[in-house]
Amino acid sequence: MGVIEVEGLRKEFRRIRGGRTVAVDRLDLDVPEGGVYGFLGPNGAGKTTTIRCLLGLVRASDGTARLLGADVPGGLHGVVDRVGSIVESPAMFPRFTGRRNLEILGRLQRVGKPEIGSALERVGLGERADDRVKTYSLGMRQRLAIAATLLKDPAVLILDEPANGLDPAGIVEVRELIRSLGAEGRTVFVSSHILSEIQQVADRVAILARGRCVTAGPVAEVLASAGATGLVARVRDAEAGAAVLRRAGIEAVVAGDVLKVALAAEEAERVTRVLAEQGLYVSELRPDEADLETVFLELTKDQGLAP
Amino acid sequence: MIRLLSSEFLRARSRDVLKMLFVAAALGTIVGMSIATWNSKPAHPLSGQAQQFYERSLRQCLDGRFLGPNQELPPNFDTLEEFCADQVRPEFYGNGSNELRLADLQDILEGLSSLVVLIGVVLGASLGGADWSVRTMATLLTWEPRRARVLLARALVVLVVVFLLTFGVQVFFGVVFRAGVVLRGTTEGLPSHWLTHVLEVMLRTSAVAGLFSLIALAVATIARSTAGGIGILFGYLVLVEGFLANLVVWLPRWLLVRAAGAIVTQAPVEQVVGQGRFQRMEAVLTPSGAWIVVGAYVVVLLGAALAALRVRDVD
Repeated sequence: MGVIEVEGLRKEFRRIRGGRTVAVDRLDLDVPEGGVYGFLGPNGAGKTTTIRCLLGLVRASDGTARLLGADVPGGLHGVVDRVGSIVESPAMFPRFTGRRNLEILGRLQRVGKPEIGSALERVGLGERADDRVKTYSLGMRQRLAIAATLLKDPAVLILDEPANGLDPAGIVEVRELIRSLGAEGRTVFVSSHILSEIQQVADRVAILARGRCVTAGPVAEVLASAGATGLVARVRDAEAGAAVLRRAGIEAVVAGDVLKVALAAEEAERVTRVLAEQGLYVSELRPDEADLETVFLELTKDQGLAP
Repeated sequence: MIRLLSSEFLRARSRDVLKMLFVAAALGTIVGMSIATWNSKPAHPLSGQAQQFYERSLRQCLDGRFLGPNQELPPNFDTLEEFCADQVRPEFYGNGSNELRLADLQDILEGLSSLVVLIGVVLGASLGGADWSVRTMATLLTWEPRRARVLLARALVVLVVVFLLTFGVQVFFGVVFRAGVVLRGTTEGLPSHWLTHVLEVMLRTSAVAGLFSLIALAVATIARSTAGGIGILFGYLVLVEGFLANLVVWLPRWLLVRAAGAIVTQAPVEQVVGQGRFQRMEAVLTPSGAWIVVGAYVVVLLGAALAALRVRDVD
């Protein structure tokens, strides 16, 4: 049984001037227990709406959703104390201190002051905990929201764009936090439109476009589905290297300061030999692996779904 | 439910609006009472003719002619003498007195009750609308998804907070008024059970403020905004209660403000009936009926707020 199970989920919004917008379209998801699950897609793909449906904030037009085995929204109250979540931009009372905001939420689960203090410390807000939230930067508010999710000691974390507004150092910290939460055995369901960011932390992913899931599975499998596209080689003179390879019957093009070679990884030795024979020594050679962004663009290019 | 109530209490008492309203009311009381105390002057004897008018009116009152058609003493008066001492005073006949009289405290509190109720309306709308204005409702619902419980807990907290705050404001006013009387006023003409009557007015006013705060909470929840809640409520009070009430004959008995007035003063809502020389005042809403009217508004509007909260998506 998955921690998050979604079947045929559909959400339509009525437009003010008539008609309907389909935000989520017959979505199926099965998120297994433990690890980090990336929920990817461009802005407007339906990620936030799906998360709102999962948390009972938005009523689905059709389909079913279950969280920790409980039907959403009817059974949500039975499992909500094991679910931590951030939905879109974190909202807290701006005139209250960070600590007071957490105390208000903490009382809902009988969370004591020591736990609140340690959650604030864990996200690096210990020193600013007694300042009003209106004086916080967007990144600090994001950290405060993450601290709020940790108060419950949740089995499942649902994080919607948790790196939004964070500076590079903050992004790295959040990445580490997500990784460590996943390693602790929790299930972290994290949405993002920055595919490269998720690729670094997720074990499994689902890619969403225009409300539909275009692919899902372990990251390695999803990347493999796009296939390895060749080798990347670096030599001192890329133009000369490309000419040498082409003369040897190997397809190669210059991409910036490297060569992209149309050979499988098993034939890497042939590349180094051909180039070395002509006095061009390889300083870097690696498989030209597809990243999630490439996979996404590949999967959506024929469907008009690309961002 | 206890945890939700505890969280809501902490949220309510952390709000700046609570402190601001109490400080504003306290400052207003101190400034107003300082001016009243400064201007308080004792009476001088009435002139011969004025004295005659005063004595004649007092006799008529004691003969029962000032009582209404049912010949019953109004609430808050135990004897006819107390009633007449209140209704026929030397200052009405030009004795130059504007002295602070402790006996007037009850009337003054009744007169100020609309301001006290206003505090309840502002607090109710603010405590109900703030979550929508700063978009924390989604956060709250991810901790407690049962929306009916959220609204019920919030309503209970708002009712208690508003009741206690407005009662505190009135007690503070009473204490400052008493201090003014000690400095430059009089305790003459105090009816028996004076303190009991004053406390009853305070309790009734705070109860009405609490009920009005629930109405404001409900409207702010439906409007999803503090300003929207206050705006809609005042729009209703001005347009419907202030304007339409004069055009529709049967309406006054169903109006919120008049019912509130009847609860605070314990005097029935009256309306002119009959035509020409046969016109007379007739009670159309008793004080106990007024409780039912205000209660009905609260129940209907909270029901509508609950339905809106349960059905609509939350951003």
